[in-house]
Order: sequence, then structure tokens, then C-alpha cells
Amino acid sequence: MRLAASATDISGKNNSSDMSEAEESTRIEYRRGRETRLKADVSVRSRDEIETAIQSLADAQWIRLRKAAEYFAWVYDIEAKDLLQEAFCRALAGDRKCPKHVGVVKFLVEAMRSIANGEGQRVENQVDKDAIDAPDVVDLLKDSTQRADEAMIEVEKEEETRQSVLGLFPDDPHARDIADGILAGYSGQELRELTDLDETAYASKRRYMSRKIGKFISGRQRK
Amino acid sequence: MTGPDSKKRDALMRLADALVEDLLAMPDQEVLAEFAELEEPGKNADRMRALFEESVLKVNKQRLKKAQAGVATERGNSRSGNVVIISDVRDRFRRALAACPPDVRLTLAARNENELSDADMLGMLQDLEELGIAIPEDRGDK
Repeated sequence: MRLAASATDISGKNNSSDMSEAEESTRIEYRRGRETRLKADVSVRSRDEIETAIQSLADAQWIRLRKAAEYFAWVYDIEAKDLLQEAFCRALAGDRKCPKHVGVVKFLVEAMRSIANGEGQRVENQVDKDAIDAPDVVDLLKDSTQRADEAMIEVEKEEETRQSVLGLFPDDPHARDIADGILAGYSGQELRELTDLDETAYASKRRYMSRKIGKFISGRQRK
Repeated sequence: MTGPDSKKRDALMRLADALVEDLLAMPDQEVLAEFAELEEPGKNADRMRALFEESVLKVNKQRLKKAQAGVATERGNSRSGNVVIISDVRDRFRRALAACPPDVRLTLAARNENELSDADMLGMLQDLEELGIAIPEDRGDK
């Protein structure tokens, strides 16, 4: 409302015939700046608002945050607690802005996803950088062999993880296919077609798959 | 890195995304009931709140450190930015000379203030102040 009123006031002044071009241009710039500031004011949560919103989360929301942290941490083999704490810190420090129309849980989940992803890429980039920086050919070959071994171990570990996930459904080919399809990058529609299930049956099977894998990940994270 | 390990990680990330999507869409009652099979939801909330409070303290400490660093920088800038008006310094120096007790012996050079460089004069003025020689205030009679 304030935004609309200020724009009308200024546009009213713009109609005056004795205003120079420069003055008019300045006023337009001012109006744009003010509109941007007002938009920024209303669209992002302040630190206090974020703090209050997090402090007043219900039990179910805390569970969602914890589980989301466990899932992302599982992918990158990091501590779920550290990931969640980093997301809290970035939100409080203002490094990540929380739009007012986005729920604080969704915002924190996105922050954790991005942090986990960035952390993984940072480590991978460091490996590439080390390869470039290696001063000696012998060292380079040695490092290269070591890195190849490490990459191989990593691939084996992740394949093992994939097999562990799929192995959770020895007697349920539909749930197994859904999990396998998600890992392969199929969309929901494609997964429904793949499993030949109707919408309700697919939704039910997917919930079952989610819970089963969720428990598996949480179990591993708590070990 | 776009090798096979990265692709595998992407695959696991897609699965994590799907699980999170389902988790966010799940009704609260189901979330609570499922979690309660393993752990008391209230206790989990307490632990998570404690973790959040730790984060608040951590961020506050970081802000305090930043603020302290800012103040230190500001102080450094203001010190280095002191402006000395040399004509005022010369006036002060002359008053200091005039007010010098008879037992303080001044060199000829000091007495010929006009021949002193600005730096020498500033140094001597500081020396006089350190010796405890009070410099009378300007009475506006120049």
C-alpha cells in the first residue's frame, strides 16, 4: 500500500509543466530506488524474524530439518549436525536471504542442500587444482595414481550404497524400480509409466520407498 | 570433476532430493508417528533447539569480532588522519619558550624558532610536554 501511494505521489508531481528533464530523471531514479528498497524490505525476513521463526518450530518441523540434514549429509559423507548448524549460521549472519513467502524449514533445507553440494564441489575442485599445481612429473604421476585409486574407491563405495538402497526392497520390484528410476533421473510421470502403477498406487508405493530409505539413511547417520 | 564418481553422487543427490520432497509433503502426524518409533520427538526438538542456540552464540561472537576489528581499523584511521596546523604549533612553541622556567636550558637553535624545521619543532614541543612543562593557553593577543 505504501509503495502504491509513494508512486502515485511522485507521478502526480511528474505532471507539473515547469519540471526540467534533469529533475524528472532524478525523480524517476529516486522512485525506482525507493520502490526497490521497499520491495526488498517486504520480501526478505530480518535476522530477528528468522530467529523467532526457528525458535518457534514445532516438533514435526524439527524432525523434518534433522532428517533433511541426514539425507544430504549421507550423500557427501559429512556430519548432519555440522550441516544443519552451518545452515543456521548462514541464515542468521545474512549470508543467505530468506524470502518472506518461503517457509523457514524449506529455506533451511535449501540452504543445507546448497552447502552440502558446495562442500562436495569444493573438495572435488581441490583435487583438480592439486593436479595442476603438482610441480614434479613423478609427483604428478604418483598423485594421479593415488587420485585414480581414491576415485575408484569412491565409485565402489557409491555403487555399494546404491546396491544397499536397492537391496532394501528384495521382494518389492515396484519400490525397487522407483528408487532405481529416481537414481537414474526419471521424472514422476516416467516412473509411473515404468512401474505401470496408477496415481494412487504410485503415491502409496513411493511413500513406502521414501520411509524405508529414510530409515536406512537415518540408521547409518546415527551409527 | 565430471567423472563417474560425480555422476554417482548426482544420482544419490537426486534420491536425497526425492526423499526431502516427500518428507516436506508428509502430514505432521505421520512425521511424528514414524519418528516416535525410534526416538521421542520432544527430546529431538530440545536437542535441535540447543544446536540452534549454539549457532546463535557462534554468529554473535563472529559479529562481535567483526565489530571489534572495525573499531580498531577506525581508530587506526583516525590516528593516522590527525591534521596538524603548523602555524598553531609554532604559536604553541613560542608560548612554551616564553613560559620556560629559568632552570631549563634551551639551545640556541631552540631559541631561534624561525630556523627550526617543522619536524624539529614538533619533536621539541613533544619533549617539553613530556618534561612536564605546561604550555600556557593562547590568550588571543596575537
